[in-house]
Amino acid sequence: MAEIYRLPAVSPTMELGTLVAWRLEEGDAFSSGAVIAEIGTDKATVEAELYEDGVLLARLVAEDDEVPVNAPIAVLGAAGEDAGELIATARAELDAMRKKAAGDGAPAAAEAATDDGGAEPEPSPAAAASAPGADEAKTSEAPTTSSASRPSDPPPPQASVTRTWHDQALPPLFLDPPGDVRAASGRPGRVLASPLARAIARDKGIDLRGIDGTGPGGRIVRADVERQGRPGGAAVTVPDDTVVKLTPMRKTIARRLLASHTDIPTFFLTVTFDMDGMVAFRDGLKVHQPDLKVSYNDLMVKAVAKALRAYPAANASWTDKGIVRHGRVDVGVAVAVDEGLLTPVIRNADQLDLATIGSTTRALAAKARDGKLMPEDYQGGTFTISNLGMMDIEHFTAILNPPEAGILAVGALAQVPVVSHGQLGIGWRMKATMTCDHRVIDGAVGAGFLAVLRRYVEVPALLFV
Amino acid sequence: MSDSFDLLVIGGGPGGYPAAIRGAQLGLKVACVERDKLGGVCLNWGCIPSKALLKTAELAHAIRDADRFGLSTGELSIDYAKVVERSRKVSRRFEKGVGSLFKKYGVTQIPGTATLTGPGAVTVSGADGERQLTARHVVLATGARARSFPGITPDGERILTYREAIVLTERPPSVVVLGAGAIGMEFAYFLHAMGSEVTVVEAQPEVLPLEDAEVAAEVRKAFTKSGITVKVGTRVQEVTREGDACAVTLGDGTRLDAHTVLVALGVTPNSDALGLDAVGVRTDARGFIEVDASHRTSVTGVYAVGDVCNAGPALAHVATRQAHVCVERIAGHTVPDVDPTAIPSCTYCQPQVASVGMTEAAAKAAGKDVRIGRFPFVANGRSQGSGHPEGFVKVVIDNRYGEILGAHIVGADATEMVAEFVLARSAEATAETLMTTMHAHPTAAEAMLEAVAKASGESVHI
Repeated sequence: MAEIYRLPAVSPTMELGTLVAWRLEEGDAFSSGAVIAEIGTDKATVEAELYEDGVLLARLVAEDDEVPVNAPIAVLGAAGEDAGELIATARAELDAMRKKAAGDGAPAAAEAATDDGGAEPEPSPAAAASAPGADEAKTSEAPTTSSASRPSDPPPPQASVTRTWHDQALPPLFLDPPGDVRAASGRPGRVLASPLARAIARDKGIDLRGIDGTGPGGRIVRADVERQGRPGGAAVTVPDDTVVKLTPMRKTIARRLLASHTDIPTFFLTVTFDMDGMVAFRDGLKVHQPDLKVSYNDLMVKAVAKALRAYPAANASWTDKGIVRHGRVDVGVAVAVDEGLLTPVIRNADQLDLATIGSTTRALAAKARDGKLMPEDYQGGTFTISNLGMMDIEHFTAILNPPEAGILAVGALAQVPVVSHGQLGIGWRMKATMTCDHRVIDGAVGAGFLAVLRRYVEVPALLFV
Repeated sequence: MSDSFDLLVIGGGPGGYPAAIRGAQLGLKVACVERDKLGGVCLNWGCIPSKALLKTAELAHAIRDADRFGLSTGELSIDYAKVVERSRKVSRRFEKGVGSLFKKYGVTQIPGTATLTGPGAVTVSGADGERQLTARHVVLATGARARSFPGITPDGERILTYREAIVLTERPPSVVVLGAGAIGMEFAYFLHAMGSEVTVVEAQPEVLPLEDAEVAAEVRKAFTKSGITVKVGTRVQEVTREGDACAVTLGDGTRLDAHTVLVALGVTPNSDALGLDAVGVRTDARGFIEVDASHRTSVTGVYAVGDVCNAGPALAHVATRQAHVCVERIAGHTVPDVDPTAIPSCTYCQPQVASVGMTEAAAKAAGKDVRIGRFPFVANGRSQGSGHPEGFVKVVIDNRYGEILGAHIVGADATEMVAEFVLARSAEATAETLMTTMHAHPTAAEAMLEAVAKASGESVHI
């Protein structure tokens, strides 16, 4: 007689399982001990054995399907048996369980927690059997043997019940942590603590040894654990996790950066620029043109733009048609805003004078922070500069902003010991790391571009010729 | 006899006498002043004699129900005076017991009425006149009495409080009980079992308003089924004496006639004649003495425990625990505060009600993430065998750590069972602890294990 085969719980805490692989085809005959399928939990994959002889009449789930424990996954029976009706029943039940599992788990758990008092409970056969003379008890009927369920079927699992505290019982509850307890707490023998104190300590990762208990006989009670911080700390309160809702910008950043990071083969080239010339140049500007606001970032934008103009292989993009070498040099500048970051673009930066680069950058950054940036302000760059130097980051790597093939991560300008002509001296230095799209820029090409860039950075006079 | 003590306790009830004895045990020189009987309301007019009466009520029910157990009896006849006399004997026995304990531990017993006259100074007026006493520490444990309201004034003859009702020697043919708290419900159950016609009137929407709503509803249904009239959500306007009978006017103007009215509308503290103002001991708006966690009042050297203070519900065991904390701290010992979340609450009608900790509603209002487990005695072998399948155990368990936030039992032996849950709370046992604790079979106590297991989806028997 045909019967439903249900997804077995292969671990005690399992609520969902994945049908990793079928080991029997429909129509296959099997005998006791045969493996019907491999069942995966989040921890292991286990072979599910059959304990009788028969034929696999129908497989109800595909490989890689995830279904709740006890969901119907196959129908077993005898060769040539017509089990169409049972298969339909099983499929319907499977669909229902899947829908329930797909719904929010929390309401289901609440339902399981509160529903049990609603119906008039009846004594189970076991209760009645263990109570001689309990003939007044309404013995519940034995489960009927229907085509859809067998008496030996386990009851539907309360798979949706969240079992927070109970699952935490897995570590040995009544065993004390190893180690020299006497030394830690001054008390010989085991750590005396209430079960609740132990549960909280386990959850918060607090070592009970070394806590002085204030309960009866020096027993560690809840209040003692809650007063305790993590090891070495004074009173520490641990606020609950909070969830920051995803803004559309955050989602866009996540999507674009993930695509960039996973789809593009990248490599990194790091250089240290000698900045003595740049520092002297800017100091000179400040003295002689105090009204002219020129930042190191503005100087870097100009230098990168000039270098890109001089070295078109780095001012390029990968497209289906081929590698596009851009005629324009449009440099994006990464700007941090409240919700994330934006890269407004300085158009034709190679042709702008320093003052214009500075004023344009500041205007765009202000627009970005005010949320007023328009698509034409940040789309269509050919290269990007990301500068964390002002935040004292020595050196970092950036993720490409496609379709650009290069991005330069600029670190902090700092005075460091330098060796020059066999003499130890002090010099201004700055590190920068270029991330390259290897489909467009090979190592030597990237190095070539950085060599050109080095000239513009280290000899600022070249920015004006 | 010396008139100077380390510790002077005013009141010899379940707050005062343990305070005195504990103080003496800890080496203090102790006196206890009592104006009436040692043991206070609890031993003489409350807890103890009422339990004796309720046992008679249970027996009466059992005898009326004997046929179901295969026994035949003649028609039940009740000697009401004898019923009450037995309860008086029980009280007298314990009252004497407290006196012997005082002698055993060296507590000086001083009969009379005490008044504070200054810091550490107390005047006692007794049969032999006035006496001035001094003490380093004075513990006020004068308890409380039935509260009355405008229009509802007990006269001690037909409009009674528990104090007169407990010593009635004739059964009133009909009674209206005002208030469905523990006292009201117990008297209603007892008098109904004795054959009185009983009506209970409660202003709150449910009987036993402090208990979990499901539990209280179960008791109300049982009362109604047994023939007691229960009017909840009903205010009382006025109670008047009309010759040999009483008339109760309800909020909606309806009139109930009864031979006797029992007023059980809560308690008011016995703080008015203690001379508190003279010394500067602060009380709250309703007259309860304000205390801190060590039961110190606003005046150094003056303490208050039990019903007269503003801490904790007016229950004998609360007073006793507070007395221990207060006196042990006076004696320099380190003891934890009284835990307000581990106070058992018991009502001894049938079905009995016993609880500790939060109701389901309170836990949810406090924002707790809880799971609820219920187990009915109908599925418990012992309860079926005993013929008491009514009621259930309900537990409120915190999801995160399995803490037993609250437990509520309604059933035949609820009051004896609740101790396990109280211990679980005070020892911080979790659901796991209870589930791995073997419960003797067959006992009604198994229902507690099952309720806890049920909350985590692991009950075998339901």
